[in-house]
Amino acid sequence: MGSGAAVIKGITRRDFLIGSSGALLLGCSEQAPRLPSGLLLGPDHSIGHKLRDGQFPVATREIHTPILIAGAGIAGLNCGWWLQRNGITDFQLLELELVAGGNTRSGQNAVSAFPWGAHYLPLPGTDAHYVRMLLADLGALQGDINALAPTYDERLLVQAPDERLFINGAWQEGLIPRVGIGASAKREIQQFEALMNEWGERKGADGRYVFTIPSAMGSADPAFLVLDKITFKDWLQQQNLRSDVLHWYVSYSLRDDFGAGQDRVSAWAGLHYFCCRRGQAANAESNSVLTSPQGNGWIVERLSKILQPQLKTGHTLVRIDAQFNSVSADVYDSATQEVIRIICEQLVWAAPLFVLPRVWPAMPHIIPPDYAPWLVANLTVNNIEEHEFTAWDSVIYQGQGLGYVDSTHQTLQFHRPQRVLTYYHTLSNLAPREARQQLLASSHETWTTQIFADLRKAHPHLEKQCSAIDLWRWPHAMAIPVPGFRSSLLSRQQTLHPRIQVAHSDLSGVSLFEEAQYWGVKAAQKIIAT
Amino acid sequence: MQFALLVSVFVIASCGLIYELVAGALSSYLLGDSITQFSTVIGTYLFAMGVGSWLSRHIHVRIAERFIIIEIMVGLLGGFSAAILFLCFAFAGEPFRIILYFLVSLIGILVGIEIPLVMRLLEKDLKLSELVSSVLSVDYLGALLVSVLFPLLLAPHLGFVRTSLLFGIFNIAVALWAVHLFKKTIVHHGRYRALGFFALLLLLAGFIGAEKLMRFSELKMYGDDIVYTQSTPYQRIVLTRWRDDFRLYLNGNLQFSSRDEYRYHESLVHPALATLPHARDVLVLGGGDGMAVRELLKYSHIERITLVDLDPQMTEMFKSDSVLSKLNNLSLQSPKVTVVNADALKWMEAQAQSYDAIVVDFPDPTNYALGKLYSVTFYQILRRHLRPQGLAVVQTTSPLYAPKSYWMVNNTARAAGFNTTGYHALVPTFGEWGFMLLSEKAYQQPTQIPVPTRFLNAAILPTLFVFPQDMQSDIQEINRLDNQALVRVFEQEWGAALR
Repeated sequence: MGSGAAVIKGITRRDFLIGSSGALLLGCSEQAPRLPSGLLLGPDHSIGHKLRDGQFPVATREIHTPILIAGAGIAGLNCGWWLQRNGITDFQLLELELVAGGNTRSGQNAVSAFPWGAHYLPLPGTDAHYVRMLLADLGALQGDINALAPTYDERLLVQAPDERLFINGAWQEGLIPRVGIGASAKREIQQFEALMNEWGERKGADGRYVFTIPSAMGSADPAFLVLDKITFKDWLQQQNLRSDVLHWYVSYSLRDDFGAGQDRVSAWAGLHYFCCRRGQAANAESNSVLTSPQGNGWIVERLSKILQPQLKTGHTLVRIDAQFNSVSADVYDSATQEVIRIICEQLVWAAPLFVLPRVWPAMPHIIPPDYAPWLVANLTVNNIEEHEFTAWDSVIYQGQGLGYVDSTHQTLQFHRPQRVLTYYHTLSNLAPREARQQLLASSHETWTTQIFADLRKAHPHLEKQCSAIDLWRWPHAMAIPVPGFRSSLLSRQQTLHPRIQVAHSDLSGVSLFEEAQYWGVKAAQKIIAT
Repeated sequence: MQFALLVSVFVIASCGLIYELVAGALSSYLLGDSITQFSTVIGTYLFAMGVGSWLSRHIHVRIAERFIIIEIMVGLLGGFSAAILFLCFAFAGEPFRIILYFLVSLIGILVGIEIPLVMRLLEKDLKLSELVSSVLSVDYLGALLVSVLFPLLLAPHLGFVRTSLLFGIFNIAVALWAVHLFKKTIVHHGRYRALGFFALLLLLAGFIGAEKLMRFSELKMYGDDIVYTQSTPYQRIVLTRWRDDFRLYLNGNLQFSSRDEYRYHESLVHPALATLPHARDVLVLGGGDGMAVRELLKYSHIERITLVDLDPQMTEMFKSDSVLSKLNNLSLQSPKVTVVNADALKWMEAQAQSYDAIVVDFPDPTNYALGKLYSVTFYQILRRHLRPQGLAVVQTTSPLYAPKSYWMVNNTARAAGFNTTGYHALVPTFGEWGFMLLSEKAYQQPTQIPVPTRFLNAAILPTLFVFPQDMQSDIQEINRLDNQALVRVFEQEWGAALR
């Protein structure tokens, strides 16, 4: 053995320590920042406002189609997918925006593709049968779709290291606080985890799981409806779970999925969040998720391709007139700026419920949910050292926002000096209406300053590294499942008209992929049955 | 006067302890084994202080002047101690310890002289009992303060080099203050002041230039003469030379020594290519130094070699530079060779071309980005580019130092559907090194090496495929993108191997 015995092809301890120790040996220095510029984006307001004010011209011509789907978000796309795989191709799928996807919209710049909204899909359990069928159709699930733990495309499984939390001045693996927290917080987190495991196994009198996803597959046992009468915060306190650390973790989790914390969210919804998932994979850990650089955008892209003959973007449904024999739908084409009347036998409303009364004045009364506004920012960051950004999802303990995902994490590229970081922020500290006003009134500079202030703790040099921040404002990003939301679902799930189906996650009161997909498929199934 | 001298004791005590802490921390940081480093550094230092105290009895006259001179010496030696130690470490490994203990002894002796001298300066004003009690209590108070400040504030924010320089400045400040206090009794107090300011200037310059100093020492760390350096967007390329030995470092990691690289590259290429007499198209991933290509070009039946390396400056250097291209026998200038500068996995994904042989010469999986190049996904994509009768060979770290890592690569390639055959060879500068052959059908060892070689021959070849017990592992895990198990295991194994 030669003198340079211990080498990692070949690094000696000397080189290794010095290579990584510059900061400790020298200390750090800081320089004054400047704010990067970027785009301030959001859903097309002009059409939204025109809709609200009823300012559309009269229809100039009339066409016929058997089935019309309004809205090409996850529900609408899946409604179309189900129709197509059952041999029905004579339908139209309308989308107001110029691209399909809804909340699952994604974008692309010179560095990477990135999400503008929904960014991952947890492994589906056996109750999420339609999700599994879809994933199999899209080539993401291989082999038996009914297996407890099917095999998934390795490229779509989130790569390690997946999650990290910045707490007490350092990064830890995983999002549940573990490092430097007190003994009582530790104990409460253990109690909470045990309690959630227990509730995850609980079944109703009908033998179904109380909490599963899609939630319509869960138990109908009314005994559990008491959970919908109180907030999750009250429920946690009833369990004697009061630790700030635990409450931060719960709040982070609920804001991430529902846009509001445990003080606003129903105990039923809170338990649903922590107990509904049982997905497993033959080739990954059971808490793994499916994701891609563009978040869930890969699903939208593949479905849009399949549905290309039927998909019409830039088309907005502006008026519905439902008759006994048919439905007449006025559709605004933003390219030609004309209104066309489409006469159809079946109409699927695959858009948020709060918009429906604006286009269909004669509709029966329903109770729409409260919606949480969101801000999504895509930060283009340069001169990245590999060890700085290792994880897919990075969260800052007690941060303002919900942290960020590294959109380049799923690429196979070895050298990634530039990244796009997708930062999520729900405006949960205000009532939804005020929050929406603040969201729309704040300037690009205000948001940018706020985002850097939030991330500075973990990334003191980010401002210098960031060359652009593009912002997307979602005024109605997701339904908030407030106490009592389960009982208002009955009004939403009623048959509004024999020829009009609603397909949207609003029918479940929670804005999750599996829910939207379930209602999309159900609407298609009802149409096929008629 | 009395108060001023007690303040000086406080500062001196803080400085003395800081140098001791920096030496202990720096040596355990650089050499590892912190218990040994701290114990021996503290022991040496305390003993030296004792020696210093004993020596102080020999100072009879002009105590103030002597005190100022010693103070300036402590300031300079202590102030630059971290920088000196760091530079020494960068220059050479072994003498570092000698210099470390020499420096610690010297500073200890000087600090040992200081306190008795101060006490003697004070003895005119105070009773013995009062004197001992005040000086010692202030001394210990200073020690407490810095021992708390050092780990919490100084080391993390200033770093070792700047911390010791800062306390050197404090020592000089005390010296200058003493000049001021005793200016009536010191004959040439102007000279002492000038000396003090000169020392202060040196330390300030050191403090400001600390960063440059680090960079300089980092360059010198390679030990041998540096004949070439180049910073590219991808890496820092450094070539050193000692007599006829050229060594290439990428980001400080040794890639080859020209003395024994033939062992590595012959072992990488010939076990595969000697069994592929019909190979026409060969792909090389990584290996921008052109050494693997040099070995491949020995087979005249190979018509096309595609070399994919991320860094254009690396391949350009080894193609055009007169010294470097001599090392690879001008291989990159061969008309058979096409150089592609691209991210290997991304490039392969976009390609449909298949090859008779693929040589994979990536760096070891030291981070998650490199871990991807050893994943099931990588081997699946690799398999799409390998012709059914073809062979791929992968450099796979050391099965001796990192047996679990080695065999995990084996498991992973199998999970991608490959047949695998492992072998290893001794490359003195690296140690016992591992390789893995990947194929569709079972691999048959060649009966001869049909091209000229310096290391491999038919007699030694079969022995490479024998793995002694200490290179075995029963690890079952597979390196997937979603677990990056290899990076974790690799870090554990090499962490234990690199002491």
